[in-house]
Amino acid sequence: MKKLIAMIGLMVVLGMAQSQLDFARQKIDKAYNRNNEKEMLEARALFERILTAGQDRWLVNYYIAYCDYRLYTFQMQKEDTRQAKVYIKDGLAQLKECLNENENFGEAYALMAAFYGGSISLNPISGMWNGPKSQKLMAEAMNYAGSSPRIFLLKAINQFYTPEKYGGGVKLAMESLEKSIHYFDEQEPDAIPAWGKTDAFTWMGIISSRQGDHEAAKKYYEKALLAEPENGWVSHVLLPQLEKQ
Amino acid sequence: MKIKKLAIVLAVFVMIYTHTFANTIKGKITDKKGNPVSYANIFIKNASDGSMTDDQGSFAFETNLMGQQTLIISHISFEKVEKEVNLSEVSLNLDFQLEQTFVQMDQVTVSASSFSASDEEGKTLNSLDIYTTAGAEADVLKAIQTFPGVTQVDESAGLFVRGGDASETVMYLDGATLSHPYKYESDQGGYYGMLTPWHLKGTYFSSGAFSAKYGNALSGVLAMESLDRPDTKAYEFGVGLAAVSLGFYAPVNDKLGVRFAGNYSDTQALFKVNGADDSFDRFPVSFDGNMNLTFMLSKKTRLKYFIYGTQDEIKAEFKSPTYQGFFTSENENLLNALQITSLFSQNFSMKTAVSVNSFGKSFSLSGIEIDTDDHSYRVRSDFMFQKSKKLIFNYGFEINQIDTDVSGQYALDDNNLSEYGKFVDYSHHYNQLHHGYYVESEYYLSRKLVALGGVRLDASDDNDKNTIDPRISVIYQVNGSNSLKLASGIYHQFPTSQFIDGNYGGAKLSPMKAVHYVAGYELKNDAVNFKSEFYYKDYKNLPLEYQDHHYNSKGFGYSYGSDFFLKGNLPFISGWLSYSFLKTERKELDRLKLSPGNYDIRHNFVAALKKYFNNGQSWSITYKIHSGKPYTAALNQWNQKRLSAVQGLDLSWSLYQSYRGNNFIVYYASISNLLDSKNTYGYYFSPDYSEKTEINSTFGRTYYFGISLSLGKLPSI
Repeated sequence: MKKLIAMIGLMVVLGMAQSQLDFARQKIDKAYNRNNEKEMLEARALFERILTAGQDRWLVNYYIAYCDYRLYTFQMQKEDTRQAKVYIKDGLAQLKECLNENENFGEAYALMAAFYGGSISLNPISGMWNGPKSQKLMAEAMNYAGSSPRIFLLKAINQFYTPEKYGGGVKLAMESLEKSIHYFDEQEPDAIPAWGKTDAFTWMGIISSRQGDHEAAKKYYEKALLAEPENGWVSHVLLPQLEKQ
Repeated sequence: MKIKKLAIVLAVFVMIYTHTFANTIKGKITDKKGNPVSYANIFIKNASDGSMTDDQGSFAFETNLMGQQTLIISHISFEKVEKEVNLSEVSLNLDFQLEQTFVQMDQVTVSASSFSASDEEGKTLNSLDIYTTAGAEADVLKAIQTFPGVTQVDESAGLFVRGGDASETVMYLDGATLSHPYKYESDQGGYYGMLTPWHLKGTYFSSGAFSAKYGNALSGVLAMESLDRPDTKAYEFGVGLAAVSLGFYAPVNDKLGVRFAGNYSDTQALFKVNGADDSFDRFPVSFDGNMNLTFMLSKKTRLKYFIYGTQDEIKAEFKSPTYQGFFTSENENLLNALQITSLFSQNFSMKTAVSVNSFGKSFSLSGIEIDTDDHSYRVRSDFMFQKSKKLIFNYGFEINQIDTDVSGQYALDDNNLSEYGKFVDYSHHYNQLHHGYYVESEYYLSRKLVALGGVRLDASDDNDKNTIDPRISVIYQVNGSNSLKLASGIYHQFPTSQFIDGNYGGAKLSPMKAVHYVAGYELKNDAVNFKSEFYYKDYKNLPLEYQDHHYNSKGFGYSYGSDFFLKGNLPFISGWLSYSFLKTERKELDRLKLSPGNYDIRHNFVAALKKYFNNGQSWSITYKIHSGKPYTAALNQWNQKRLSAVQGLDLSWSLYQSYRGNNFIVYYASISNLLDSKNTYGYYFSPDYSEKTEINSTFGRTYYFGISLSLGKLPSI
């Protein structure tokens, strides 16, 4: 009887922790779709609470870093570079913790590379030392998780912002995004982490639009909305912009 | 999935059942000034119960938990707070005050008198800063000469800091003291530093009131760190007007990485192109090679081995009133340095360096023939223990054994090198054993006030003299951008071998002593960094010649001055401006009364400006002007005259081109001394001072160009 009670107790705790994690993940998606900083902070706060429970800390650290990544982009939109640096610094610290517990987690290396890419955008001269770091981390990410759609997504974003003569460019970015979409299609429905599919289509749309291929851009934006119907950036900003052109 | 559903059902049941016992925790969170902190996370440890503060800093949430619990309050910009609370059926009303995140000021900030051009924390300069500073000739030491408090007294790379000579600045590589850090070594230091920027991942420089970590130096400290294990494989090839270089580096496996580099320099083409080829019988030639092995013994222990060898020779014209001919100088230098770095725990680390340095020099000029053979053996360990975020202890020791053989002939009167001059035979062997110990702590008295205090003990077996040097620096951070600094300390340096020789020097000489007092102000934000410092240095126990080549410790002196440094990183231009004022007087060596020091250079201004373009081009321009040095123009009139001001304008350009991110070519060109200024750095006199010849700059306007190619194996992005 005691064993049964203990098992039920354990099931309750594990199940609640899992549902909290799911809830927090959904909260991030919602915050991102609504472009709502306060909701993103709430999602981050939820992960912080889950972290103290001590289960799957590496994954929780990863998700806090992911929140930091989104919050960093919010600060860049507001041109608050001082706060953007704070999120980059915290994001890197969270990912370091994550890798201390799970050093083979390729997704964490890719997100780290994205943070170093962010550092370069804040201080272009730091590209001299942060550029190779970012490249090395992306290579590590590919080494551990070569079929992760998010790694190709983050790689594509880095390539998009890197001039062609330094190994980046639009062409390579599109190739990476195509791979990203391909791997998203192959991804198991309950895979974790599970973010980024909308971003992949959105970035394809942005690049197509910049290349003047408005038809393709519209097709990708629609696909983005199919993946995430509530995405406000696509529905309220990008699509109307495209229609005006 | 079944488990999940069952858990949710049970959780809902538990929540409904316990709802009647829920109580409320509410309150307000503010910062130290009483301003509300919005979006702070407040929750019960190991539970999901919690909330976030609103725009007014208020929060409220319900919990079913009872008894002793831990409440956590966190915010990304504030220090995390944990508080034990006893939950009962009565609602709690709690207010909290948060402190902003505690960011430690790095060592550079805590230490007085260090000026940084680097954007990376804890570094004075990075390789790019050095390479792109016009006039620095890609030399670490010449780049540091553009900083306040450092004077370029001639064309050499010697670091003359706040009135002291080059020997008063101690240099380290990976914790090992460098006995001979120059190429073409001379009394003024040497023409170049032995290490190029590409050997180094960073440098730290302080021009005074530095920490108790560093000993046996009266004026300054330069600590350099060599590169770590390479992440990628690459081949490098460079050719310029006066040098050819080759390099290779690669990770061997996950733990081991190697770097090799070699450089051959022959200046004949350089002098011929620039029309200054009549001053040499043998053009300056040098060769150097190095290997760096980095091995990760474990995740927390790294071993680094650095071997470096160099040879150089020169036979150049010498003109003085008593002798016209050539001087010859040949140097050989071999350094072996091993460093072990270990992180015992998150709070406790160690760095130990063991080095052996062999140096040989032959010098001849007229009747002077001196052969020097010098071997030094050094061990140094530094430990760092971080007791808390607010308290850090550093402690360590160093042992240095130096064996020197000097033989040949020297001139009794340096002003008389003619065939009628007197030259005396000399042969001697010196052994010096010096050991030092230090302990210091860095303590954050508050968020705004940090103190670095320490004490250093040094001993030399040559003269049984022990020294105790207390040192302290205090920084007050007025706000995020402004800080004030006060520092003081006692500094000792043991006299070099020629002074302590029993027959030719003074065996009982005391260690030279300087007391530093520094006050400073710093403004630092994203766009600019402005630093100003005011200092006074009091010298005692300087060697004083009481009869020919015999010394006592009765010399003394002082120096005072101010340094100003403005560094900007603006979108249209970056770089720095520096200005120093200095007054120094000493009674030392053969100067029998207090008179201006040899390096009493009153005003010194440098502007080092750079512009980077998106297409890979960079331009740099450096302008320097400083007051002339004092010199002695008559017997017993020590340093009563002053040379004319010295100035120089240097320009450099480079173009960086990359191919698919893996390979790159750098084209570079420079014009040194663009204004073709004829600078005079001193005079050679006849024994009665009736005749003199000028010591002028070797180079007028000088052109240099080259190309550097790197074939890399960087992982593609």
